Amino acid sequence: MVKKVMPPTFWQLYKDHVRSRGALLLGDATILFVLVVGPIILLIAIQVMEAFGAQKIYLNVAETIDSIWLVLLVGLVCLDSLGKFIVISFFSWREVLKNKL
Amino acid sequence: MNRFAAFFFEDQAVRWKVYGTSSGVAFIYALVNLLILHREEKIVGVETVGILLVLISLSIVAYVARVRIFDEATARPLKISSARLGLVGVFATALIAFAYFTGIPRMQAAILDFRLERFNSRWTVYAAYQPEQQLQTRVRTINSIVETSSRNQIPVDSNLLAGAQTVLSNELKGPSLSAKTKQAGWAAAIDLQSLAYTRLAQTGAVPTVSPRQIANGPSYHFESPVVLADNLYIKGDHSVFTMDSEFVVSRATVVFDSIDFVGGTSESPIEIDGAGSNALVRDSIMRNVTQYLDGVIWVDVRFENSKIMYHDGPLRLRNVTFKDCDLSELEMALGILLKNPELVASITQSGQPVSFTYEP
Repeated sequence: MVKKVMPPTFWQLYKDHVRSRGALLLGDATILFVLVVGPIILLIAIQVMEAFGAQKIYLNVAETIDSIWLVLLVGLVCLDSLGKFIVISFFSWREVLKNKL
Repeated sequence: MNRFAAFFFEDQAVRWKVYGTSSGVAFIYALVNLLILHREEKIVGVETVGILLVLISLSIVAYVARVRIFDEATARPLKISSARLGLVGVFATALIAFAYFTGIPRMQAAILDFRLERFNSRWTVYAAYQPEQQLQTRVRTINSIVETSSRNQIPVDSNLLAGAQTVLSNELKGPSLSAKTKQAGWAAAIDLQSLAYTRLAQTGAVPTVSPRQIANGPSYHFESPVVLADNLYIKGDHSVFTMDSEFVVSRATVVFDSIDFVGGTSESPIEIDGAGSNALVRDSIMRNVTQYLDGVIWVDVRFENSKIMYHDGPLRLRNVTFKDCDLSELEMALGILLKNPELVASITQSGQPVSFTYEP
């Protein structure tokens, strides 16, 4: 006799799929946000260093690092988002989530 | 699940490792190109993003093709707890909010004020015992403060600037310093005073007026004397004042900022009337004028086809250029006062911007 399987409740679906995916995306966004804070802190540090009369050569190096950091982060955010967008477009959320079922 | 999708949605640890490694390589590439090879920033930026794209793409291909380093049977999530990540995110947000609401210029102003206070108090205590080298270092400190404040428009306290200017001026009157150190110090003192006037105008302590307000109309032609008996900051946009008369500064401090003068008579466009009267002319072109230099602070001014006069009073020049001017009177007066023909020639005949101060 085939055992009747009860369909999942809305809460189970939410808990297993929506919330876990949402948490994953939120986690990624937080990591990227925290990384973006780095150049902002560096920028503030440069301004403070400048006010304290730091030598121009050090300020130039710090500004260069800051700009590279920012360029890389923007690139990373774009590439990460593009990758996720491609995955969602090609495989759809259903397929992505299938593995969890 | 498809390996490509797994890279973005399952294997967090691998994904962030790939991002970190690729970013590190691209970062080193950019750093070497910018700081050592001194290549153009824009091109290096594009190349860096290109390298990042190529490295991440290759890593994804390798991951999908299960190259040995990526050949893991199970996907691994990132080993950071959501709570910890959230805490860091909140801290980062708080930091950005703090920087936004406090305002970086205000923070810089507090630091610069602190440095000026320190400068003023230390100078008073130790100035008498300081060797010349230390004095030069302190002048460099002042230059750095003035340059940083001017460039970034940092709201430094005008009283502290004026205080530093007074302290510096008093100390520079000491006889034991070399002429070079004194000139560097006087130049710094002029810059301090100029910045102090700007800050006074910005804070509203000294009213700022437009050329139209001074001229009482759209025509900037002055046919009768204008007595300026109140502190004023006249801010123009290279507005041309045609002078058939003069501005008389009487017991007040007046700043002419970006005002150009064209003369028509033998009267000086700017006349200082007695003690307690100060004028500063900044970023100006003086054409066809007969002007006494005494008592006025001239900053970034160009005299053209003018007759330059001098009475043996305080002479304060900062980046002043004389083009096709009659400097014979000035030359003669300075020749008697300075007794240094080479120095006089460097002021009157160089054709380059001159910074020179003489305090009787």
